[in-house]
Order: sequence, then structure tokens, then C-alpha cells
Amino acid sequence: MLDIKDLHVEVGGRAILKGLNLQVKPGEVHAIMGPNGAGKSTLGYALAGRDGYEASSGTVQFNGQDLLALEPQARAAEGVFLAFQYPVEIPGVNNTYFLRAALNAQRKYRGEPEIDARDFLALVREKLKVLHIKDDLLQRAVNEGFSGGEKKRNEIFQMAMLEPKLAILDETDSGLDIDALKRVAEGVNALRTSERAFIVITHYQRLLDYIVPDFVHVLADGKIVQSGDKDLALKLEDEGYAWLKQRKITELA
Amino acid sequence: MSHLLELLTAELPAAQRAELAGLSLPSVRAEAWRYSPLRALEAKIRGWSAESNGVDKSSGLTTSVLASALTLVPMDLLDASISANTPAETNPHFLDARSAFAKAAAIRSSDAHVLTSSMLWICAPRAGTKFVQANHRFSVPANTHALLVLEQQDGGAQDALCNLLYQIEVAESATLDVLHLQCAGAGHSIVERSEISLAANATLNYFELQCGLGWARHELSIALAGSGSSANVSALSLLSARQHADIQLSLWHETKNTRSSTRVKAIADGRARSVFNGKIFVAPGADGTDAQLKTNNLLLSDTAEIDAKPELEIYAEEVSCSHGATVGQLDENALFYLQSRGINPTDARNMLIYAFAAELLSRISYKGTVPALNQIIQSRLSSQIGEANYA
Repeated sequence: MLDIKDLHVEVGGRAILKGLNLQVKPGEVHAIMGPNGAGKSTLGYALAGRDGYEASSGTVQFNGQDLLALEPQARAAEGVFLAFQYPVEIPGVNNTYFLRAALNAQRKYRGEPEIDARDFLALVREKLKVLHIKDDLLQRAVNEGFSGGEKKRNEIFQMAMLEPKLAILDETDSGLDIDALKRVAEGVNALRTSERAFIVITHYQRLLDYIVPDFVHVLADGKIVQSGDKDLALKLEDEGYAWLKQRKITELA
Repeated sequence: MSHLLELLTAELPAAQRAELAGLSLPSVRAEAWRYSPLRALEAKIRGWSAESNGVDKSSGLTTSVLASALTLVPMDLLDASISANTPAETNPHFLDARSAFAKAAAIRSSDAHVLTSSMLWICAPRAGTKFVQANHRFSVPANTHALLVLEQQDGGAQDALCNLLYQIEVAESATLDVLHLQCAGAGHSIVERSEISLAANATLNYFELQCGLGWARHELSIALAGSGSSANVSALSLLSARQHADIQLSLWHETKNTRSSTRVKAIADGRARSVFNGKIFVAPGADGTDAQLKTNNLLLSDTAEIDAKPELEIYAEEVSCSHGATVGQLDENALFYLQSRGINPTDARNMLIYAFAAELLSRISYKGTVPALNQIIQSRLSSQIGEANYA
């Protein structure tokens, strides 16, 4: 589904990703862990197409397409979804209106008919039920005045509505207490299917107790330096990221 | 004498003209007029003869742009509403701040219209009229709740200048909602001064929408004269092309326990210029004053200009006052957020522009008018500003 080869990304003239490789198949959950400044969020932005995060070299194939050649809105319509680490507050734009506009924009891109108001509301109710979210969230402006937990849950709700093929969760656990974290993780788990893949970016192992990954990758200094299964995350939790440096020194020696 | 000053005084009887002798038009050297030079008006009226112009040559229009949302009684049809009472003494702050425009308008005698329900006042120059000058007084009796819709419309004129003075008194424990809509075309210019005085426990909810006029100057002066009085002021300017809109707001907190909350927003595209000065004055002894003022402005082009200044002048001890001003462009973060959800950049931009404007609608006390106002804002944005298009 997703094939990243030797991806280099510079941000503001500084090299952040320095030859990243990653393959993701449908239904898989990949966790990307790593110390601050390793390039975790940059990877999310580069895949979603943010200005200033263009690849300087390397390729990204998404379902046989050159992902990097697409505009951000086209990537979304092709099925890439980024759950933001810091979801943006948009005062004055009603959450429901925004979601319907987004969904219809994607459908239009794919040549599907627009969804009418009644069908849209039915879909909203169905998804709210699955995620155990109260519907007062819908009447408010996008993320405005939302608590940290509400913002993250709103990201997951958007994901549920837009039904992406690949969801990238950028530090969805940051700023959440343990109860909020559990609720967000339950939401994500409810959306796991054999077709939908996830890239879960996180600094801490804690989230992975609730969203159990198939693969864990360690990102350090712009590259994936180690891959393994969920036990790798536990090892990181025990030993911190310091052992990575240790490991590099050993490699050099 | 400038031609503009001649026009202002042309129809006054000789005795009253003498009263105004020695008046001069404000110049850009005065801080309050710094960003609104009168050159544009002088150029506009060149060649206008004084005869075809004058007092109250309004068209008698009676249909509000909010007609779909409200049943309004056009004031012109309401003779019974006129009070013979002499007005209360004009607040000295008001008198001090009057320019030659307001002084000329003030000389026109005017009866006070008593507001007791929802009423409409339209200023719309008649065909063939280029200059309208008028002084209108309104009063809201104690314990009443009234709505006043003030509209500037085209009337029959393509090209006109209005010089208006509104004097409004809100009596004890009364509430007045004002919707002030400036929707005349680009050929219209207006110099306007509104003086609103609030008695004890009176409430003012004021909303102003500046969207059509070519050149507009509005001095909105509000005296919180009675204890427990409160004012909620909101103004929205949607400007493009070469439009000029200047709002000069003064809030006079004159006694104990008064409250004001002000939000002013402007969107400027093209070569438009928005000017806002918001001054909060807290008099000695006006303890317990709570005054919050915020202005946020959006620049959509390199050639538009926004001049915004909040001011505080406080002579009391126990007060809670805040003010702030921002001028910026559309938020890149928000644009990317919308795009990352599948919305194309043009729609994302339009959505943010509309949202910036529409946020103020939540402050309108007369909720029934919100859909109609929303529609006016949408059509204004979709026709000329940022190509926004909203359903």
C-alpha cells in the first residue's frame, strides 16, 4: 500500500529525514517511535503534503501512485489521513459543516455523488455511536475551546467519517491523561480493519499498550535504525533512547 | 471656505449659519481624522450645487434588507411615536467631540422618536438628491425592550453624501438592540455620528455591518452614564476595491459598576482601507468598571490597509479593563488543516474568510435576524471579497 524509499526531507534548509525506508501493507499497524527531534512529525507532514516539507529526494508510492506529486487535498481523497498532534482551532466553522464539506470534496474528487444532508446525518450518528462521542461536539466550531482530549477525539471522529485507507496518528497520546488516552485508543481500535493501515507516531510506549502494533520502528536522526515487533517498544520503555547512541557507537567500533 | 463646508451649511437660516461661522473641517493633523483625509469627499462633491440638496431628502423607503427575518414598523409611518419632550442635556463628552459635520447636523431641529418595539429607520437619498443632512433623536422609555434597525440604502441616488447625527437615550432598566447596516452602493459616502446615552441598569446591544459604501466615517460615542448600565458593541467591516471605512468608538464609563464588551473585525481586500479607533474612558470614581475591547483584522491583499488602535484612559482604581488588537493574514496552519481533510485551497480560504466574519454573528442578541445577516455577509463575500462562496 505504502512504499517509502530513501526519503530525504529538508525543513527550513535543515535535513530532517535522511533516507527513510518503510513499507506498509493493508491492515497493518506500524508504530514509529523515537526521541524528540528525530523527524517523527516531519514524516507525517511530508506524507500529508504540508508546504515546506517537500521531499528533496526519494520516492513514496501509495497504492501504485506517486504520492509526492499530489496536492494535500488529493492525497486526502486518495485515502491518506493525518491526525494532527496539535489539531487546529477554526473559530466560526461549524464542525458538522466542515466534515460534510470535507467528505463531499473527497467524494467529488473520486467522482462519487455528493452525500445529502439526511444521509450525512445518518452516517454521523452511526459513527458517533461506535466511538461513544457525545453529539454536542458537532454543534461547536472546529476544535474551538475543546479540551486536549476532545481535540484528539475529534481527530479520530474525522477519521471515522472520512474512512481513509492509511491513517497517520501524530502523537495522538500527547497531552492526554490515562482515561482520555484509553478512550482515544478504543476509538482507533474500533476503526481497525483488514484493509485500513495505521502509522502510529509516538514518543512513549504507553499508547501501544492500548493500540497494539504489528511492527515497531525506531526513528533516530532521520532514519529508521531498528525495527521489530511490539516487544521492541517495551525494550525502549525500559532502557530509554540512550541505548540507541550506545548501539551506534558499538556499530562504529 | 471649503466647498464641503458650504454644502454642510447651505440650507441653514442666516442666524444659524452665523453660529457655525468660524467652523473648520477637521484635518489629518487631528488624531481622530488622521487616517480619513477629507480630500476624497472634497473631490466627490466638486460641482454639486447646494440647491438640489438638503435636509431629510430621504426616499421614504420602508423595506428593510432584513424583511425576511423581521417585522419592522417603518418609523416614517409612526406619527404617534413622536415625543414632544425636550431632550435631556447633551453629555459634555459628546459636545466636545463633535466636528463641523456633527455641529452642522445638530442645528437641525429634531423630534425624539419613542422606541417601544421593533422599528426601522432607513436613510436613502431620493433620486436627484446628492446631499442629505439630518439629526435624528430616539428615546427608549424605562423598562422597555426595543429594537432599532438603522439602514443606509441606495434610494434613488447613485452618488450621494449623507451627514447624519443620531442621538439616542436609553432610560433606566431599558434594553435597546441596534442593528446598523451600511449597505448602500460604492457611490455613496457617509459621515455619521451616533451618541448613545445609557441610564442606570440600561443595556445596549449594538451591531454594525459596514459593507457597501465607498467612503464611510462613523463616530460611535456611548456614555455609560447610569450605574449598572452595560453595552455590547460589535462591528464588522467587509471591504474591497477602494472602499474606506473608519469607525471611531468611544466608551465613556462615567459611574460605578458599568460594563462594556466590544468586538470589532475588519476584512480588507483590494486597495481598501479600514480604520478603527476604540477608546475606553473610565472617569474618576467609576469603580467596578468592567471594559473589554478587542479588534481583529484580516488583510487579504498587499495593497489593502488596516489602521487599528485600542486605547484606555483610566482615572479610577477598582477596574477591570483589557484591550487588544491584531492584524494578520489567513492562518497557514488552518489552511493546511482544511486541505489535509480534502478541501481544495480556494474553498479552504473562503471557508476561513467567512468564518472570520461570521464569528461575530454569535454576539447578536436578536437571534431571529442572524440568518438574514448571514446571507448578506455571504453574498458580500462571494461577490467581491476573496471570491468566497458559501451555501
